[in-house]
Amino acid sequence: MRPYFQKMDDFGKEVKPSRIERATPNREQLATVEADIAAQVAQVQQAGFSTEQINKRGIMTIWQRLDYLVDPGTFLPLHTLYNPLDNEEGTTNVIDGLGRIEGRWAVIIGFDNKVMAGAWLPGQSENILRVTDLAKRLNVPLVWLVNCSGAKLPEQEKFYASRRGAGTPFYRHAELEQLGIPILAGIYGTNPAGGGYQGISPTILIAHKDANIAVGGAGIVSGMAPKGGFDTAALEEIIAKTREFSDSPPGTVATHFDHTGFFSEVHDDETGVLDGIKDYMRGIPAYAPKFFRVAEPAEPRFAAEELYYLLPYNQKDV
Amino acid sequence: MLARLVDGSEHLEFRPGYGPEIYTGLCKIDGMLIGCIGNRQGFLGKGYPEYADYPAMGGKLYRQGLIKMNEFVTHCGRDRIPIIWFQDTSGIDVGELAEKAELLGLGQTLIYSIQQTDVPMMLVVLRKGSAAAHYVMGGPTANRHNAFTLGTAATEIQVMHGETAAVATYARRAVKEKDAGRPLDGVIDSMNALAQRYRDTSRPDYCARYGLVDEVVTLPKLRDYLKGFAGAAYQNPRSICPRHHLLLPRLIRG
Repeated sequence: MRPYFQKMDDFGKEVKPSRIERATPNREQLATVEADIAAQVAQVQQAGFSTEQINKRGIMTIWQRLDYLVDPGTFLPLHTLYNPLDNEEGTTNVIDGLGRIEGRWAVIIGFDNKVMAGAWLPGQSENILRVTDLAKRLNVPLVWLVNCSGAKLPEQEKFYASRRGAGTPFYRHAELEQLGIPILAGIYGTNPAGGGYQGISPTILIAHKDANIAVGGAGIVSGMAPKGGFDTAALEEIIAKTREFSDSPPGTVATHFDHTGFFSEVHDDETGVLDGIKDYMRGIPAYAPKFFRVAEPAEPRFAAEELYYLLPYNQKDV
Repeated sequence: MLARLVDGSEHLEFRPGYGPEIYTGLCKIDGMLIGCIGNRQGFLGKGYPEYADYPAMGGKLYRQGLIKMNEFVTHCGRDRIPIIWFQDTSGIDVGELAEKAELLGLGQTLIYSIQQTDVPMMLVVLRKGSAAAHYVMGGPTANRHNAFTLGTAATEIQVMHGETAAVATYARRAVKEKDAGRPLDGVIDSMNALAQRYRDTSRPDYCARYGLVDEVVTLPKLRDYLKGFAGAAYQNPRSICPRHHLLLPRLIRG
């Protein structure tokens, strides 16, 4: 079919200087909106603790993890400004997009560990369902960077339950696996309850040495039996239990690597976890691009910059 | 615009002489075959649409364009070619002549045509995404097909233009006020307020925040997303058509 595809019909015309002149204000209007969007994206990227504050604790931010994991220049962010329930944090607290890892496309998503240690927030499950839908539609692996402290408890009524609530992604993970789509998870930090299921629901679990996943975390274990209210004696008891569980939270590597074996690998370094994901990505089947290429890739003959003179900003232009 | 997004600025256009308000054609993205569909703007030539005595407007959908999209989508499905939609549409033509020309039925026919394929699709809302045209042209509403939707700095998604909505909402009240001899200032204020509300809730950042699009991207970044979509769609397709069994290129070349 070379005669059909190697050289197809040329189309498109040069943008005339007169149009460039006429459309220069148009270009500026588009650029102004793009700059405003970029500023809002920067706000999302800077949400929560600063990179320096996170790094001081000896851990990487979600953005640093993505930067290390994804092939340079291939990350295509999605849902960056998505915040359908107007969270004060300015984010649904997951960062996601399409990107290549070791030359293979994957849908990649991770919790923003700068914001409430990666908590579930309102609107997040809708964001995650878009992401699982995307992996399903494109039939590509889903890669999770799990670092989820569980529900933001004061707002649980907005996202915990319902058909498309915070538990729904776990069913979607099972659905993807049934379709033969693998889910790789790099697991960091403390992941209790919902975070625990974020950790256990993928296909391959690769943990950092300080990670834990658990049905319930220290906070829940120490306050499980409601007594009808709180008083000083009750609070003293809670304080004592909390100290105990903080020292040894449930579901550490000692439990889930040594005992249950849920974790396939444990790494001492944060980057070791990401190297582990890369290694598994190399083992996932993917056609080489040449299998479906009908011609050698080529750039357009016209510059993308010229789009600013061709896309009318004014809605009334026809 | 498409010539600035696809490999070599080359294509094989499907039925160029039919349904001039819509472009349909095969293009290459990163060397891979993609079906592209988009709205044309501007004057569409004398005598079109053929069923009416008024001129066609770029960005609207008429009988031929709807039929052409139905055909193209169906063939892309048969040939296992992923589709990228480019919307800049104010909607489907309306009125009694449009009804007689079956546009209501043809819009839903396009939904049926999309639904009976199983190829990945992506959408770029270049500018306007309005009325049912936003649904039928591969919108996010196509849950099983639309992988993701992008917006640009010019994106504006709403059921109809805000001023149109203000007329639809307040015209009868304006008539009543007028007949009663009351001042019209209140109605005018309400109409302007509604139009402004439409403006505020259809802008790119609103669309991104509330999920009407999956991301707003700069124009030079668009091609990267197209390449990502093509690369991912062809990485592990669940169903394939050998290139020498493709029907669409033969239909185009004749």
